[in-house]
Amino acid sequence: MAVSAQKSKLLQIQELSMTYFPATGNPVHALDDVSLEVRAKEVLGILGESGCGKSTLATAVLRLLPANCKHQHGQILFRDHDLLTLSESEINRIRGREIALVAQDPALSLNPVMTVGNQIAEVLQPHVPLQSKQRQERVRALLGEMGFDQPSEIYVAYPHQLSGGQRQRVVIAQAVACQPSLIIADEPTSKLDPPLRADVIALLSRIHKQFGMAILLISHDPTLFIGFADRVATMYAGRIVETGNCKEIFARPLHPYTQALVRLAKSAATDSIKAKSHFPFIEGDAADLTVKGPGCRFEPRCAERMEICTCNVPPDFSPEIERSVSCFKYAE
Amino acid sequence: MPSSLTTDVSSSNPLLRVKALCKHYVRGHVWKKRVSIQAINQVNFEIAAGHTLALVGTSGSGKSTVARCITRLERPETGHIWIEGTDIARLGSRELSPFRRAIQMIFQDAITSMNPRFSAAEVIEEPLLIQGRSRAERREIAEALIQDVALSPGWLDRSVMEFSGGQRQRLAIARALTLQPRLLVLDEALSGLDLSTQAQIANLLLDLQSKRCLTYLLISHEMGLVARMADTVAVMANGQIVESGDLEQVLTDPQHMETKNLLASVKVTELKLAAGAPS
Repeated sequence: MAVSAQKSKLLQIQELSMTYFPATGNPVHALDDVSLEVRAKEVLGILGESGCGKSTLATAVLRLLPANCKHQHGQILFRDHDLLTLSESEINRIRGREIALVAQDPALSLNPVMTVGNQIAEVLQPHVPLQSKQRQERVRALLGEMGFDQPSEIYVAYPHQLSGGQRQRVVIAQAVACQPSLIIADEPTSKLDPPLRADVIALLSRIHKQFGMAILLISHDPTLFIGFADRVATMYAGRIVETGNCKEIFARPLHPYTQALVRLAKSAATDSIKAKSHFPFIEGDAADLTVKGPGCRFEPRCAERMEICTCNVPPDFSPEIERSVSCFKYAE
Repeated sequence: MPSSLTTDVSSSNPLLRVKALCKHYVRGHVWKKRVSIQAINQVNFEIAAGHTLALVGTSGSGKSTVARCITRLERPETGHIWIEGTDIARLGSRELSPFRRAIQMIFQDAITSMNPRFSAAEVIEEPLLIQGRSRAERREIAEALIQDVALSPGWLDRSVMEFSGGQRQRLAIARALTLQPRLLVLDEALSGLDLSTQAQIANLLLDLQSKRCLTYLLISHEMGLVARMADTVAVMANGQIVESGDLEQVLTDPQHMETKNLLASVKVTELKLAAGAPS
């Protein structure tokens, strides 16, 4: 690989496997040999249904997983340092400063008894040396950039006094505060209604242009990525099954699972709908992460299954440049 | 002006008719000035038996307050709620109990509407227990219902925590059906689910509707869902119904700004999909 391409890699996840060991029941293999790279300044989308390991991946990068989630093997390299081997104080210097997280539910990620201004200032405090007056000024400026008309009023408001969309903008302000090089947005719009969803994506897109940080955007809704993400990775049952350029993934999805997801998203378009007609869906149940079978994880739900799919895990094939798909249909 | 709008349902005998419904909440506490917030104001609509009315609008427009008044979880200040000819808006808790059976609600988040220590059987049987049915009878009904929502009867003794999000929503539907209601209020019951799971649950609801002649009040902000499930649509903004009519008419010829905005957000998605994915 060319040296310049090597340099632009910001985050590299290599063959990462993570398993939850619940107090009762079988171990859950949430991540299974996940390899992924986020390049500097790019927007990478991760697409997948709930329970496929998307959020585990997001929290694993910041080492915020619960104690019963054990690292099996693999590395998470951030600027060539393995985040999994750093000490607690070293990783604390990265959290918020270099990598920030926008969690799914802003109502849960904000402290209910603290004004939102102070909560944003709290992120700045350990990383940026500023007098408290200057810090307040910085937070107000930041709130202004997030599209609030009256930053001073928002500064002294408590989370419960804000609407869902406003809270999400506050959480994004927290993430942007230290101008990190990577923002991980885990389903940032799933709790919002469609007009607000568009607003939040527009805000993220503006921040991306303004500050030039990389964004790892996680969602189950393919429409969120179109026009925003540079590349998209599809995840199924703890594995990355397809990666590629966003436009190409949606124009010509290769993996049967990505194909099914894109078909579903298209079927939700209102002008093609007949009233009281059934919705198309993907046959079968979501994969059980406690069972690790010998074959492809999607095989039980796949319409194009072949004999080889039941007994072998498909490796990554690369039918085109910048495209990889883990399906035997594309075996050379 | 908006109060004169009524939903255009051809049937002369609606299952549910709501007229001039108002509800306000009082905010504030001991130290602060009390503020009254008008959550819904002069809401009128009706739903014919076996039909679906979709109540759409952005968050905070008062959709859920309407749902909570119709299920009488809240007591509206003024207005009428007729269920098959009886006004339940002012009834006390004892007179309400036969109507509680007729109207059931399914919430957005299935897990917070269930006792996490219950098994699936306990969840489904609870309404029957309240009605004083025998143990054998309860079990029989639960076994039939869990199959109606396409889950296995062998799972009845599992804890609700062992079910996935979509399966829990199926349990919530089974529980709502135990008392053979005539009206189901679906308060964002399909939001927050994956596209595929959402489609499966929506199909189940459509099948149940035709099989059992159920009437739905569908509360949603997903226009794609509304377009497939509803017969009539009412659009809410700031506690009032600003536009209502047949599904076709509202989708193709929206009048009010709010409706246009809601449809625009869907259209943007469609355009994006069309641009990103030529078929």
